[in-house]
Amino acid sequence: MKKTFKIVAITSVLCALAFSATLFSCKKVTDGIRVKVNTDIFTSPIGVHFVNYNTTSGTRPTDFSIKISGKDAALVYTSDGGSNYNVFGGFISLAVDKSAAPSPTHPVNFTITGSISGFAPIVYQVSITSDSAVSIIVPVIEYANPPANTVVLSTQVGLTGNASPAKALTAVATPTLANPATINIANGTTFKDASGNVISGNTLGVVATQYGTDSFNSIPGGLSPTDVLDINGSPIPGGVRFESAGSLAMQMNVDGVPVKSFGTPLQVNMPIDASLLNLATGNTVAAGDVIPVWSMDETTGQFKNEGNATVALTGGKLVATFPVSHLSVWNLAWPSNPCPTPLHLTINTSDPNYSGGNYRIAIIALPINGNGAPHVVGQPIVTSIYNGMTIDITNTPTNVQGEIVIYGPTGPSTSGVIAGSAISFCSTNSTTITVPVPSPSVAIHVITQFVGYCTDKQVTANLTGTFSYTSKTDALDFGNVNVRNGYTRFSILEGSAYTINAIYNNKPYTADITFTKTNFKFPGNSSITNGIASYDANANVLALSGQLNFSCK
Amino acid sequence: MKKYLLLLSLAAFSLQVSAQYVQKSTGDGSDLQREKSISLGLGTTGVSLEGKVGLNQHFNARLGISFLPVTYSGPLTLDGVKTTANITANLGKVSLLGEYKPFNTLPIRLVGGVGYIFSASPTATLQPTQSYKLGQTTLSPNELGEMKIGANWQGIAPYLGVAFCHDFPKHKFNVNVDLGTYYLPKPTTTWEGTKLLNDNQSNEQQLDQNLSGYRWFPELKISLNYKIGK
Repeated sequence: MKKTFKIVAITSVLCALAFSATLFSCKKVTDGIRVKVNTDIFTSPIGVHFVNYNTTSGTRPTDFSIKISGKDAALVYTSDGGSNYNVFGGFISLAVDKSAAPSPTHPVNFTITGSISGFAPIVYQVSITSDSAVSIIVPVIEYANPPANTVVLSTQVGLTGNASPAKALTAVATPTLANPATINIANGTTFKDASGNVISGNTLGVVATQYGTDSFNSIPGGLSPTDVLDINGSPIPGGVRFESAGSLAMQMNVDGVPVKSFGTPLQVNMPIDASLLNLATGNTVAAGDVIPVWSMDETTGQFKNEGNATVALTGGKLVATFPVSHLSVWNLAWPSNPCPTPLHLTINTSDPNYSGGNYRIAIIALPINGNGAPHVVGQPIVTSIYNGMTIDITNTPTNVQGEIVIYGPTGPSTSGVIAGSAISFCSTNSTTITVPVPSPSVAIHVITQFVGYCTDKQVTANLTGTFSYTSKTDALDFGNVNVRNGYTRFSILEGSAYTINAIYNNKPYTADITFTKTNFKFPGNSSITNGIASYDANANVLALSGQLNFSCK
Repeated sequence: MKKYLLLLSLAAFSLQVSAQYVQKSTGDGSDLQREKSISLGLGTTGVSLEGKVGLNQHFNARLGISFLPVTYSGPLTLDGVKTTANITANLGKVSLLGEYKPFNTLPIRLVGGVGYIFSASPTATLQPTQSYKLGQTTLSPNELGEMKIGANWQGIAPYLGVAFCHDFPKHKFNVNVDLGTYYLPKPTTTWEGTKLLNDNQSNEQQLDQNLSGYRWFPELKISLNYKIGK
């Protein structure tokens, strides 16, 4: 019996040893391990929305390609590092190479150009002066539905021997633009291609967009260009600010071949609004005044001073006439030097926990010597906001009394001013504005964890870039959130229904989400997969997570 | 990682020096002389030095120390990520064991006791060796950075096993074989990364779970005993 016990004891020990060896090898160490790669390799995330300038039109710019050109184009990428700039749903996410270290003294300047069927050409200059996120709204003129004070001339001219007869082309007047510009073509004018060769053909096609005071902010190339040449062809350091008196963007072709220049320069008669303020005199514009003429290369966004046009009184109306030797954008504008020092703006929010929205920050210049009217100068800055946020606003006008104003978060042109601060530009170097924001009771704080999943390498990328959200019902209600290594935090109104859009690997990823204080899964038609939302009532935080699947080969 | 642990568990055999003592009857049963020996061992827990003393006819006591240095440098694939791995692990322990001889005629003994693992913190530094295309970006190994993964089994570890061959040499030398296992403390892990791999701490929890079963540390050891005294 005693010996039996001993044998059992030894057998038990040996069994335990065998059992331990089994346990030792039963679990794979790498099970469930996911190597995560951060992707914050760029700086200055830039969300760009392309919208129809005419907000009443149901036609939106959607999917198309753009080009990035200009001095610092090589430093600009899509947010996933590409250089194929494809817009999806009117949105694209860009970023800047970290080595650029953009600052007010070393800005990253580039030009966005593009062409959308049925819309005026896109030429938009961008100047990035910090590593902060930037939201840009590019309003585009739809030929069929131009905004007020803007007309589109679309016509054809028959050619004989590759030359045009004398023609005066004028768009049909509208209630808001009673005096459209006239493009005069001299008899025998030939049309040349980019190589300077006369184009052979029978029909000249003309599309010309005349920008009025209500659409000056969508003039191709913008009103604060940084890449500007003087009349001698020398660069103007820091660029200029334009006070436009009228602009014409022309596109022509002969039997489909684009026209770049002319055998004989065209003559353009540009009516001038008599209420405009002449920056050079400080008085409203009058006959005899001289307005500088600028042309723009639409492939680069570079402006060049082409001389002056003199305002004349013709038939009781003010008209400036100038020659046009080449296409495409011509702008009558008084230049002014921007302030050498940026204006340091601090934004506080009424709810210190708020972060989000789609606010526009604009400069309004007040009349000089009581003449003219308050008017927006330059292009508004579009951005989400948070308490304590700071922005350096460059290219402010010189020695002008005015205001920095902030418009509400719902769209580019319909919301009124909700906060502002009077400024004596160039004298005042900093200011603070407190912005009323939605109360915490109706806003939901949202945090995210969006990852990219390599379907072929089992690597997870913590995504970095700008995601957009667009209302399902209101085309003017959209905004950006800047995701860094998968994470972001923003605030949004409870019950809002948006489509979230991210672009990765040249492909859009979307999910329709209604922001509610509940737990829910993303809809089944989402291309952002495994999407879930978890609501923490105590913190009033809705945590979103989702996955973008793509190949990493 | 699996390779690493296999390396750890399949460590080099070690030389063992042991000092053994045994309690031995003088013949009339009234005067006991303790047998003792010292041994040098080589086994899966490394090189060991151990002393043994006989307590009575059925029980011996052993006190020893062992050390197992492990280094590995070479390719290692972690979840599809090809890397060059540099692994170091220095396993050190002291042990206090008791032997029970159930049979007078068979040279086999039950062994039990505890070890104190004073060093069991392997670290693996993994440097990716290939570029990765994420979106439209190709990230080089240098841009990615590296990962440093560590685990720690330090603490008290019970031991159970069997020993074969005579416990003390009849003359000056003999050989003993030990087969048993330590039950290690539950490990804790660390996962650090640099550059673009610096957000992998969340893998610590998963690695903790995966390693939670890796607590049995088998020992197969061959010892050369030298008898001290007559």
